[in-house]
Amino acid sequence: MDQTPILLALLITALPLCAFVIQVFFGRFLPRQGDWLPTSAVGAGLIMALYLFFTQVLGAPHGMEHPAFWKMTWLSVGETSPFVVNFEVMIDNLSIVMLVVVTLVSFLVHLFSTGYMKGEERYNRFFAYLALFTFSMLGLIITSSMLMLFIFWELVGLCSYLLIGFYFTKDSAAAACKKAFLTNRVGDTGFFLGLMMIAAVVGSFSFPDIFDSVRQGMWNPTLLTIAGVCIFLGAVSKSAQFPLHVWLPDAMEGPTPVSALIHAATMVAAGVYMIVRMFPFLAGWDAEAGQSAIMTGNYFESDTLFIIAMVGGFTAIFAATIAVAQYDIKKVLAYSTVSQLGYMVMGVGVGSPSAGMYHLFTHAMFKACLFLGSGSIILAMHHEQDMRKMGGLRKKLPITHITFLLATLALSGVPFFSGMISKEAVLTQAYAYWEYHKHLTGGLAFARFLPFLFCLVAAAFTAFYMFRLVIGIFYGKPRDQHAYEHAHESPMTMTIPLMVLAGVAVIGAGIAIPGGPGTDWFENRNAPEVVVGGMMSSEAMVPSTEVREAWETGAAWHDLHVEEVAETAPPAIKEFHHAYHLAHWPTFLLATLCGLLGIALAYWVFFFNRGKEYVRPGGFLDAWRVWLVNLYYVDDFFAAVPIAFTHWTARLCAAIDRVIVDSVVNGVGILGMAVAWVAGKVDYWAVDGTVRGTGELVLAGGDRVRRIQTGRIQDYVGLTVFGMTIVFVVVMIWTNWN
Amino acid sequence: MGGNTFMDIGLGHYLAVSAILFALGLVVVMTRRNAIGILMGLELLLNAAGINFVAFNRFSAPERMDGQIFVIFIVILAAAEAATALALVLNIYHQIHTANVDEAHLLKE
Repeated sequence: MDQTPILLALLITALPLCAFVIQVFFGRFLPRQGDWLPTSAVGAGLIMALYLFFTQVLGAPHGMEHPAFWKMTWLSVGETSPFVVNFEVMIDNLSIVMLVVVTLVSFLVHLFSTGYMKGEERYNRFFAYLALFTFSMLGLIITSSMLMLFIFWELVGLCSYLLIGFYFTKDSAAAACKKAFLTNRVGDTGFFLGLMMIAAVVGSFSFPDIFDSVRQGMWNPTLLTIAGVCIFLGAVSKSAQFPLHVWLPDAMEGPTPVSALIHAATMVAAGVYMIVRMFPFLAGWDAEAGQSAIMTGNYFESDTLFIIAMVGGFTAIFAATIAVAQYDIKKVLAYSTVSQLGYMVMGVGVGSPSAGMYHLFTHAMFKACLFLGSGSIILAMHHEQDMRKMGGLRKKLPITHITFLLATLALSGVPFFSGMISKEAVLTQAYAYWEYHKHLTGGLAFARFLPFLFCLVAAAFTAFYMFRLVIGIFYGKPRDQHAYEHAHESPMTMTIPLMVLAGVAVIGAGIAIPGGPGTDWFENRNAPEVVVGGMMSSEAMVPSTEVREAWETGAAWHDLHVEEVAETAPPAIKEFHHAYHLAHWPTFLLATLCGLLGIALAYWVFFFNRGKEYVRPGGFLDAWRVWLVNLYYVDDFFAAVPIAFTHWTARLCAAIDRVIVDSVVNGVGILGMAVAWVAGKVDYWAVDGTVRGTGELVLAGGDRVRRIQTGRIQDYVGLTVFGMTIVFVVVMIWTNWN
Repeated sequence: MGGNTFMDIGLGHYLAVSAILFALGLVVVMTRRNAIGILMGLELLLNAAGINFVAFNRFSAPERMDGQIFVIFIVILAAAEAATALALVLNIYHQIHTANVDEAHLLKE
């Protein structure tokens, strides 16, 4: 078996780790504070990842046919039928794509940071943290064990904490990093609960074992839904879905490269990646067919997926509306990220993990470009982030302007940019999802329509607020003349990443579709027609123990291709497939229309009012605006209810501790003292008394006996005579006894 | 001498005399304060022992003379010892300026 992918993947992951270790201890002493070290480590990783991508994924018609596995036993508990926990690595199409995304964005961010963070204090420490983050994210991607994923999940959360709180001397930054970590913790609790449920039912953490257990029907369907929702909770916090999205806008306190890397492209994508990987688990159990849903291809009955779709859809529109009222560039982009993550999550929820992944990929590119571009702007405006003070910068920052505009076009879903294609994939799936559920009556069908509706409206809003941002920054008259004069384009280290990312944002579409949706390697075989018999072809999506054994033994693999449409697929699925293909063009038109509508609206509102600091909408929009500016009061709600409750509980516990526990402790102390007092007395009187008494006895006795020695001879004579007499009598009696 | 009755003088009588003398001598030694007086009592003790020897010689082995020789030794011893003792008493008198043995209590504890 060709172990190259595994080796390369491990090397790609290990290099940033080594860079981190060296950087954190010796970074200060290296020339240029060691910024080249993590950058080149990640750069080498990028080259290897691209090599893997071009040989394994693009080199073969369906990408990597068989996933590559590797494992190492970590611990084994128990003697008979032990509970085993392994370090497992699995490389397939999905992993390789993610490797490319992470290493590419990370490398570009490293490069950007050499320019952006120049002159900052603790510069070397920044790069160390970036390297640690890259290592954690890469480890998360290559693993095939949920436990290992959770370990790396927490590690990326830690790196996020360290990086958001990089300027920890600022109160707002310190509060923000704490908020990020704690909010993530809430979701992680759900994740951990789900993980424990899996460990209990399946007995193992590894993906093939988990998916096998679902296929074999080891799960009670209700428990499966609950476990799926718990696992999804982890994604809710990590990928900033409503209501745990509150940490992401505050995370903008971190340096801008951090926002680009972590909070746009990679860490927040980890949640989406995780639910894509766990898709067979979340797809659940198809009760009608009596099989796991991944086998029948009927993902649309799954309650877990419906919940995911609703949360994702709601988040998409929720955040998109808030972004309209924000003035800080980074906050606009942050809410935009939340909204787009909602898209990705919804994509998975309506049954197309490949569409969600595709959007993740394109979004990573253009969002990173947007964030880095905003970094360039912020630096040019001398750390000014409020767009009300900007304007007319397109003459001063030409490269930034062009790349920012390209990325915005991609994000807004303008045709032929990469963002359009991925958004359209998600929307088509959502539409087909609704079509399928039209069989159901009344209100339930409307609920299934909501994901599609939310995302469509969100698309319009997205275009609107993004162009509001672009027009406000780059067009019109400058609002702050002084800052405008001093603005200048950024150095090459900062503009090159912008150009690369914008380039990928534009042409990224072309790479991904050799033959249209359904045959691209992204489409990890979730399309129902390839579900035949008991196994999935190219188990990149659903690794199973059969696949792993085949990998290990090198058995031949019978590959099934899309063309072999299953005659055995249930009729509902065939209908879905039909609806999906029908939906392509309408959705394309609708999505484009929404995007263009948003752009036109933005143009009308802001371009004609360019130069004005603030545009009043008027009417009920003003009232709505108050809600938006206050972020729909979600933060306030959290502060008032859960956090206040936590504080109250803490005070209660402190009171209990003071009154009850401390009294017990004090009581024990007093008891100890009493016992000590008694012991002291006993010691003084009994023990010491014996000793003293003995002494005194001896003294007194000696005193008495001493008096024999009178010094007078006559007394001695008398004693001698007396003694002699006694001896004489005793001898006489003794010898004459008989 | 015919017809020995209890009025005949036998060993017992000599022993009784010797015992009485010994007891008297002992009393003198133990009670007199004057050092010379104690020496006189000492003579009595020695002589009482001598009578004992002679008595046993006469009544247990009359053909021999061991007892009587022993008594001569005792007398010589007594004389020598009296001289020595007097010398000692003289020396003590130099120290304490009195012949009262009660005053010679330097070894008292």
